[in-house]
Formats: sequence, structure tokens, C-alpha cells
Amino acid sequence: MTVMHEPMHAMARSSAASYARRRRLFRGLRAVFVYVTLTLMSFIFLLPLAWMMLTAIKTPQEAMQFPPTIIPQTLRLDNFIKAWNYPGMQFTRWTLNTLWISLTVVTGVVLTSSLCAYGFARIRFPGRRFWFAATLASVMLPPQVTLIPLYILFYRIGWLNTFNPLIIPAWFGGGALNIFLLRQFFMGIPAELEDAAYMDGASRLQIWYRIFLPLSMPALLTVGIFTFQATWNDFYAPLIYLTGRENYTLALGINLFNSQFGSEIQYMMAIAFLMTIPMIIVFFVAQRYFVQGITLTGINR
Amino acid sequence: MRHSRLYWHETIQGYAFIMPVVLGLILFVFGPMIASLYISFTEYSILQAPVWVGLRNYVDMFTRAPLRVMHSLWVTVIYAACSVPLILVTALGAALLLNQKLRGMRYFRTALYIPTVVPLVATVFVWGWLLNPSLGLVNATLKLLGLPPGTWLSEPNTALPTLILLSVWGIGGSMVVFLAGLQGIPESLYEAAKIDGANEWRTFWYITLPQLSPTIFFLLITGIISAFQYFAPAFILTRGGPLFATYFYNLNLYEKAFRWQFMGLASAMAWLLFIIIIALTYILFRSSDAWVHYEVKR
Repeated sequence: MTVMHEPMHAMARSSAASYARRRRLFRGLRAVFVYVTLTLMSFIFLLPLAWMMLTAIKTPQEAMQFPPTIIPQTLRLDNFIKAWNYPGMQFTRWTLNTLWISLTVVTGVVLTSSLCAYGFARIRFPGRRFWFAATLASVMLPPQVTLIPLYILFYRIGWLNTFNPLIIPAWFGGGALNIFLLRQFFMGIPAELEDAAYMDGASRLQIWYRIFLPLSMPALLTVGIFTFQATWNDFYAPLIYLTGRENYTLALGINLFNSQFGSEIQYMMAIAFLMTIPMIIVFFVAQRYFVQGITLTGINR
Repeated sequence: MRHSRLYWHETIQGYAFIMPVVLGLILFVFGPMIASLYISFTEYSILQAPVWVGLRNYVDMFTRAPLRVMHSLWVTVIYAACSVPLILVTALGAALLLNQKLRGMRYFRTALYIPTVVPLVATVFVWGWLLNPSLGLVNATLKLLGLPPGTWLSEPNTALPTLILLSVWGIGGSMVVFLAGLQGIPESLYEAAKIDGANEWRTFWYITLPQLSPTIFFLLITGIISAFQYFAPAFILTRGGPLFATYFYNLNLYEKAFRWQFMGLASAMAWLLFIIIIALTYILFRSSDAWVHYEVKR
């Protein structure tokens, strides 16, 4: 019997070893597959941005060349300056317009959505469920339904071609999803903190301002960043409400440039790139709030 | 029943806090909705007083072909039916790859998310340039590979499929939601499956997918709502053409309202859109019992 044992063990050992080897091989192949696919996908996904940058620094002749050169033969870095100061265009003014609209919208959204979220999260009153449900249901409403009456209203009170139609509505609750996100966040804040402050005679407004806002910085930043991004990039609302060129936002300005000088493709791409840069910077500075924000709004249903 | 002073105190405070959204809903949602419903039964060009026409706008939408309401609805339905599943499948695939415990996944996640950060108008112009039939990089590459050039946005039969394909570049948000969903699946389920000897495919089919079904459900609904809102790329790149091949519903609505001043018809179109979105959401919610898996809350 002892004679038999040795080979049995050896067999078991060698088959275990080959199993482990096969598993290692499988895992290695799988890692290769994952890396190759992701590299390919990343390349395809970054291609538009890369092509925008590469075209933006080409000479007009080279930009229109076919087949195109990948790396520019002669660098034209002053394309950015020339495009920005293109005769008849007002990109500096449009940037300031966009910045002003975005910042006032962000302020309104963060302030009023956090107020409403506090009310929904922490105060019990009749009608709370109704108003919260109405708020959430408004997500389903296409903006086109209210568009025409609002357009007529803004026309009657002389708000067309002003920033008011873009800014003022943001000061009324700041959007259902933002209220929802902040309410979720506020509900996670321990009640004891609030009770203690209440005992000390603090008012609800003070509690909101002194306790809830400081503790919710990540959520507030998330709301603010998403709102900034959405307002900066918005095309639809400015298209409808802003008619005079001096009041254009960047999105409208670049569209105007395209309709008049779209064939100067290197300038088009330079402008598109300049409009993109702030968003890229915001993204890299605040990357974790992007991920967190998407996760918070996306998961809790 | 008499209420205590605390009750009234709380009620006043509660309404004070939610006042912005209550006013917002009344001023910018409910009020305009009623007005819009009324306008949809009139003929109205802003400059002249509205004239009551009963159901005519609604009848016209379905029967008068030159208005292209049904055509643009069809374009939008095709877009939604193709792009929403395409985005979901691509986003899930990307999330599954990114969820592997390997080095460097952060960088890939950033790379795949970046297109979502780029302003849509900027992206749209680059796409127009990349897909330019005679000068674009895409056709140059195809030529280099010995493939025939594509007509992309320049031909009626390829324009809409091209826009559907381009929607893949917007998977960033869905992908991150899927990633969070994947990371929320309890490890113990996978361990149990491993002990039972389930292979990877079965693990995906019987554990990952059911566990992700609430996420899929959420993304499906939000995806459909936003697909029906499609506007800017068609407005900027194709103006609805060629030959109305990309004449999306919202583009049609915009032109009816602001180019032709058919405010009544445009309002009726908006209400049809709203009804379609509600109906689809309702159907999805009703069907969700059958396929969406919810954990029993303890």
C-alpha cells in the first residue's frame, strides 16, 4: 500500500499544479482581453477631442488636405487668438454672458434646492408627500409642454432677449433631481445634531445654514458642478430666449460662427476647444463629485 | 380634531422651506400646463388673439401629412428604439470591463467618461468634420483600409443610423451608474455561485443581471425620456435633412412654434409627446414586476 501512495500523491499534485497553471493562463488571457478592449474603446472615445485639438492648430491649407495629416506639419498656435477675435464675433462677451448665467443659475439652484430638500427631509407637515411627489413627477414633463406659455409670458413682460428666462426659474427649487439628491443626503445626517441645536434655541434656518449646509458640502458641490456643466453647455433655452447677438451664450456664438464661417474649419475647432477647456478642467478638479453625483441620483430608486 | 400649536408651527415652517419649489411648480409647471392645454385647442400666432378650434390641431397632427408630425414621431421612435438599447448594452459592457480588479481601470474610466463632459455643440461640430464625406478623417481611414467611403450624414438612408451610432459617445453617465450598481452586488452571491460550480456566463445571467435590473430599469426610463428630447445635433448638423430623414419630433415642434408661429399646433404636439412619455413610463412600471428584481428590505 505504501508503494501505491507515492504516485497517487504525485498525480494529485501534478494535476493540481496544471489546474493552477491553467487558471493563471485563463486569468492572464482575460486581463489581456480587458486591456485590449478598453484601450481600443478609449482610443475611439477620445478621438473626437483629439481631432478637435489637432485640427485647431493646423494651417487652413493643411486642415482641408485630403487625406488629412495626423500631426500638424506647421503649428499655428495663434489660431486660438485669431478665432477668438474673429471680425464680427464677440467671443469674450459671449463667454462673460455664459459665465454670468451659469454662476447665477448655480447659486439659485444650490440655495433653493437645499432649502426645499431640508423641508422635505426634516419637517413633518400636511401636504409634504403631495408636493414631494409633484416635484418628482415633474421630471417626466417634457419642457416643450410649458415652453410656449412661458415664451408668451416672457414676451408679454418684456423678458425676451434678456437673461431672466434662463436665470429666474432656477431660483424656484432648482430642479427635481437636485432636490431629490440633497434630500437623500440630508436624511442621512443624524437627528441628534439637530436636536441639540434646537434645544439651544437655534431656528430651523440657522440649523439649515450652520449644520446641514457645512455637513453636505460634497452633495452641494455635486449639485453645483452638474448644474454649472448643464448651463454652460445648454443650447436649447438660449436658442429660444436670446435673439440679439450681444446677448448670445458661447453655444449660440459657436453656432453662429459655423453658419457664417464654418468652412474655416481650423478656427471652428479652435473655438470648440476653447469652449471645452473649462469643462475639462472642472471635470478633472472635481472628478470624484461627478462619480458621486451620478451614483447618488442613479442608485437610490 | 384640534391640532396643537407645534403642529401649526411645523406646517408653517415646512411650507416656508419648500416655498421655492411650490411657487416654481405653480408658476413654471402647473400654470403653464393649463395654459398650454388651452392653447393646444386654439389657433394662435402670439400677435393675434387665440381662436378656439376644438380638436382640430390634434386631428391635423394625425391626418395632415405635410405637417410631418407622424413622420417626425416615427424618426424619433426609431432613434429611441435603437439608441437606448445600444447605449445600455455598450455602457454595461464597458462597466463590466472596468469592474475587473486590474490596475489602471481609473484611467480607462476617465477616458470613456470624457466625451460626456465636452459641450454637446462642440462635439457636434467635430462629428460633422470627422464624418465629412470628402474631407473627413473617418472616410480617409476607410480609404486607407481599402474600404468604400461612407455617406454618413449626407444621404437620407444613412443619416439617422449615423446619429444613432454617435449616441454611443454619450454612455459616460450610464456607465458610471452601472459601475456603482455592480459594486453594490454582495460578494457572497458570487462566492455561493462559485461553490455551486457555476461558470462565468451563468453567474452573469443568474446573478449579475438580475441584481442590476433596478439599475437597468432606471436607465431605461431616463434614457427613453431623453431620447424623445433629442434636438441639438439634428438642429445643428442636419437641420432635419437630408430629405427630412433626421426630422426629429422636437425639431419639428421648434419649427412649428418659432418659425411658423403655429403655437396651437406646437402645443398639441407637446401634449402628444407628454402622453407618449407617460404611457411608456407606465408600461415599463407595470412590466417591472416581471423582470425587475428588488431586494426585500429587512
